[in-house]
Amino acid sequence: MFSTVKLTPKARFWAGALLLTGLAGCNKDEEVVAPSVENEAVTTMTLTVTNTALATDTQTATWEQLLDRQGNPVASGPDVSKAVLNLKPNATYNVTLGLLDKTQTPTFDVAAEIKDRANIHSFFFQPLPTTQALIIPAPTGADTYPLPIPTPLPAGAPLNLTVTRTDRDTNPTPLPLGITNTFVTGAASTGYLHVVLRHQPNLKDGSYAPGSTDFDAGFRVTIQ
Amino acid sequence: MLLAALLLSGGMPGLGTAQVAPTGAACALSLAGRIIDQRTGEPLPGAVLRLAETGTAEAADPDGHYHFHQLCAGPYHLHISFLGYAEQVLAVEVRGPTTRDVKLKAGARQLSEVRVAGERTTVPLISQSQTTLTGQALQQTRGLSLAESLQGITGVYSIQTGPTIAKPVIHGLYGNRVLILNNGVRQEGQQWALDHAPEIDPFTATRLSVIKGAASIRYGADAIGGVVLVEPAALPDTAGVGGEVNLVGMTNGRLGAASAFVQGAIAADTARGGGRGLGLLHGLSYRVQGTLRRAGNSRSAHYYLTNTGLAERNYSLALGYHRGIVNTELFFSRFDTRLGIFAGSETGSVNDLLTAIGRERPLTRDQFTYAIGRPYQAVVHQLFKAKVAVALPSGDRVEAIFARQTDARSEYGGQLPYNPALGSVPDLFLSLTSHTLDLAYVTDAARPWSATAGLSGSTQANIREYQYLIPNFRNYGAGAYVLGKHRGERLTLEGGLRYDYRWLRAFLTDVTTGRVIQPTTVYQALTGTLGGALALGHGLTLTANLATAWRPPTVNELYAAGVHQSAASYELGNASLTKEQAYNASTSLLYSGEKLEGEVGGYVNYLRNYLYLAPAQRFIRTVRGAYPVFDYTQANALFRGLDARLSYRPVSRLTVTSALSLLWADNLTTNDYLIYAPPNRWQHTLRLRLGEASGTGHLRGSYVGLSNLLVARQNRTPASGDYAAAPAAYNLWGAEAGTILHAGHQVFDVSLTASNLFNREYRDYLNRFRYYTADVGQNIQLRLRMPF
Repeated sequence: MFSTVKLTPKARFWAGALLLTGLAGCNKDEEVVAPSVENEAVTTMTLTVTNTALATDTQTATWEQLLDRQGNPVASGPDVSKAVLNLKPNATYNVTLGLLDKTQTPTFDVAAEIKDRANIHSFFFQPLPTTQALIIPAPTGADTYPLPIPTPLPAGAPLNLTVTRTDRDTNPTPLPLGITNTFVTGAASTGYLHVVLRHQPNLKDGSYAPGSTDFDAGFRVTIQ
Repeated sequence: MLLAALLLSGGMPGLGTAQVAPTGAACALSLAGRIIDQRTGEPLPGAVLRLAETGTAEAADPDGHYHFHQLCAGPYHLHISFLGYAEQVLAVEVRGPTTRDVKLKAGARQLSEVRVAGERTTVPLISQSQTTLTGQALQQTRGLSLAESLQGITGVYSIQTGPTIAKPVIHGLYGNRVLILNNGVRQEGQQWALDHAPEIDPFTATRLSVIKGAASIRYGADAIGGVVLVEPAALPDTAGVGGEVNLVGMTNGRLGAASAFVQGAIAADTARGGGRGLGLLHGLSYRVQGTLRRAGNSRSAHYYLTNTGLAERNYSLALGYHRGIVNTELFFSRFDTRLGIFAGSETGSVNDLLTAIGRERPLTRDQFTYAIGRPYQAVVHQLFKAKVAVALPSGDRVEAIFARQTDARSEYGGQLPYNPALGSVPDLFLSLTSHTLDLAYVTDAARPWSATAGLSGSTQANIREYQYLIPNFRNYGAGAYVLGKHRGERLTLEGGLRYDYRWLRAFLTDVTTGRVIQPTTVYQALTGTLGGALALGHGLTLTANLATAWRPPTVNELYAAGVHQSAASYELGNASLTKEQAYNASTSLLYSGEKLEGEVGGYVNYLRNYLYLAPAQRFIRTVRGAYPVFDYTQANALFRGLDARLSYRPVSRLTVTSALSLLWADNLTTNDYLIYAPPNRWQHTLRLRLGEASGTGHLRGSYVGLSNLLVARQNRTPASGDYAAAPAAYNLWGAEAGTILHAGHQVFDVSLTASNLFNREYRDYLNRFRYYTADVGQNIQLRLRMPF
């Protein structure tokens, strides 16, 4: 079978190999481009605020950052035109926080999922400016506050707003989550509200430090 | 009849099997076998065998095999000699095809176990620095990943992403600048990313070699820093079944690894008239190999690193068929791993990263578990290889290798998707399919003038799903090269030229229009090499080499656009980037003497259009926070270094080794140091042989040793581009002990190794997770090897 050595095995194999390589290039699966899907995308945060004393005094503030086709923030930046809260002084408000993913059709309610994962998440609220110790650390170095909060924060009278998170998770020692809250306003003042969602799969202990930030938004607050 | 013949020819290795010679074929008998070191079981290539009765002499081949053909039936005396071993004379009775393996006992002069013994045809450039791990030196790395196994070699470092992911660094170059050849096939598996470790099981190899220097001429694009060769042993060709079992246990991470292989052959029948009923099966050989590796959370000096476990299941199958002058080999391997990513490395923005850097220790659970949770990587790599080699009567050889590889990579982020309807899907999925064909014509290496000429072709397709990190693409590559070598009495010269062509087409959605665009780019390069090795006498050899190498830009460098989460950076590609071209000059002085042995080498590597990420001095804000923007850009870089290794044996039992690796890397365009250059390193080892080198003492093969690794602080860091200063210098002690136990015919090679013996806490500059956590602490490793 292998007595004529030079041509037969070589020629046979070269032909077979070239055929294989040719076939290898025939599959065109790579030409079908799958859409970019961000599995944990959150685009919109809403604060639905209702005055406990006056049911007609209700409003919704929205902070939104949409994504482009590659899953990156749109070039125009976040939409903070509706990220405004106009509150009455010396009042108490019930506040419900909402989170939406507008990259999905229909719009997906992320806050409901966060509630299911309450044990590893925590919302933090920071009224600014303030004279008290910061709950959410101020940005350092080249980092900035989320719009519309200016960086650096202008000096001024503190915002008379106190935020209390009223819901609790199901940890052995229940810790606050921050989807249902109470805002208590004092005297007339203006300022900002910094809201951060922390993902804390390790050691959620009520403080801000553990874990990483999943959402970072800001609102303009006017109490008058 | 067939069964009886199988039983007779499948005898135990080491025992002669004799069959009654068929009448009329009395002088067509053969005597073959394998020459191995009695203590280590390692083959002894180049051992000289002489049959006193016929006067013919043979040398054992690179795997220790020898053959004598056309023998008449009768008694023979086989003289076997090899430098460093006691000569043996064996009386052999040849009545049919006879197999006789011989174990040589080491003589008065012991050869060093780390150095290469014998020439290897897979490394044609002898003028470039090359180090091989084989035998006992390789055995001491069993159970570690590929990059970790190579760390002890001068000039070689590793860049890590936590304890589970490491990539080799040669002369300061890594990623797509280091080519890895897995069983002769270019490893293709998204190696452009720093957190994608080579998907290779080192247990498949009996040799791990590192070629330091530009080696594009033989292997094509990407071999700028060097080449890592992962080579399994050749398939057996003497009848019988054998194999090996390896067991490894490590205290850090409570790692357990088990690997075994079984190999066998049905001897190639050389008697005319065919074999005794086996016919076509003669010349068939096989190897079945598998590995299981499992580890839980690693531990730094003072705390566990949450979610740093790994689970790996690999297997490989090899089938060989040697018939006359044609040698065919089929190989299939599957590598399947799940790697936990340290939970404390999850950052939402640069603010999270800077806060983590400021902490003494990470805010994560300090607990051990084997469970691997999110975030983690799951990779499956499959390789199919078919090789045909034809040995021509002139002594030349023609080779063809066809390979198909698939690499499927899933990266699971820290959180399950918010939408429960999606289930547990990855954040990113990449699937790469590569086909390669290499043809080579190699002239007889025994002649003074020899040459290799070859052609190679390749094609790849990449598909992505979920997140956009890199686009879909298709590429085609072709290369042609010629290498020549002249071997003189004292001077060996070699030179070569290669031409490469690359065509790349990406498929991505245009952000503004929403339509699929297909940018196409083409790259080509001509590379060359010229080098020589001069034997200066008195045990000195001088080698020098000039070589060029290149690589095309990778898809991420061209088309990346997005947040690189673990690096807390926003990376932007640039479609107009051009190829990288390297110009390398290296020289080495080797000395091999009675008591002293060493190698000192220097190199200069100039990289024109070196591709890297440069800070763009601006930030981009996502919903999670601010990320600094980095642009892929090009600059001219210069790497200069010195690798020195000296081994001194004041008395025969004691060996003292000192190894120094120095590197200076500069970014000539920005007039600054180059980021992520390996720090200078100095390693000392002391080894004491306890028993006699040969003989029958109980302590034969036993040793103890002590080692020290000093890694300097990298002071040559650029002014910007890094989040934290380089960590302090550190000093780690290690210890080792080993012995060979015998229970009847069974050999047990046992060794105990301790790394970071005193559990020092340290951080390494080339570990990307040094921002979040310290490096691993003490690790005591027990290894058991049982050949059978």
